[in-house]
Amino acid sequence: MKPFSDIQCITSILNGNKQLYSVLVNRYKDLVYTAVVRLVKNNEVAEEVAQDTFIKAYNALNKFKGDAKFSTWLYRIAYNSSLDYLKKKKLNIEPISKLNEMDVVSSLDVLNEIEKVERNTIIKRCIEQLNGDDSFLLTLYYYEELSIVELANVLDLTLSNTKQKLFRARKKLAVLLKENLEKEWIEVYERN
Amino acid sequence: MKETKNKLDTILGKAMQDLPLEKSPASFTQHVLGQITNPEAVVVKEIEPLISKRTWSIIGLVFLGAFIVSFQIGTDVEIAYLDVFAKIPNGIGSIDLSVPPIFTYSFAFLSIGTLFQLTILKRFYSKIGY
Repeated sequence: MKPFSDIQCITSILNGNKQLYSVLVNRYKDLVYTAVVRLVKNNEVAEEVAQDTFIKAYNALNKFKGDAKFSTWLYRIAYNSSLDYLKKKKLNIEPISKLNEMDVVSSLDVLNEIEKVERNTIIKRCIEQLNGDDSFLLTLYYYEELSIVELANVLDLTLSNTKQKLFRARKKLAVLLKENLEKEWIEVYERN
Repeated sequence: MKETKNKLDTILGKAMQDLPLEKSPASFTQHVLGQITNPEAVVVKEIEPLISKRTWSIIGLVFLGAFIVSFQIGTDVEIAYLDVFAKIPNGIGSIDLSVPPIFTYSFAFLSIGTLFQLTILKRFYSKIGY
């Protein structure tokens, strides 16, 4: 049986089939949770914010026009809910280190030579070190493969600002990966 | 230059996508649906403090009063009412054990304090509906 599309689910939910909302929740819960946890950097808070996102989305479902994808609309709610939480805290924006792209690319080639588990640990560490906002953006960009237009819609930014933000976030991640990989190689070298 | 950028993007994309998504808690969907289908079931109880600001002010004033009084009348105070406690038998004859009067006083005050707290707690919990 072909699974329900998002729009089919929404139509059915709006016609009273509340239980069908579980299909949408199950479809997007892990990605919403991952994006939120990377933004707020706390599992308990992320659980609360992610659940709140789905409840807010349900309550506003009749306002969903369908001109954008349901997921984009949902990520926007998740982003705003996370920001509401972060407003209470001071956002820590770190300066971007100078980066030579050629240099970084050659350093990151090393990633392919590291075992998957180890590689994932390093990447996870780098993502945790990233600013929450950048981490959220990169998660949606790489996992959901959202376009710049969709990202701009989620973040409520102009296209050029979104491009710039994405460029900076990638830069930061690349620098962090480079630094962490160098550390890792030094440790391996010292062990041997 | 553009080629380098694309390569960087590919490496980062692959690195990120290789990392599995965080798993949301097992009861996630159930909790969301619970809130949607039966919002009344989630009753938000507004908890008020056990000791109100007014009571804290009274306690503070009593302490301040006691402090001032003790400075004004000094320490040579006859606390004859404590004799009541001193009259309580404090020895256990069969095993030849006796406790000092200060222990009896402390125990008596602790009991009074506990009774007082129990009354307050009982009132508090019945007020918030437990």
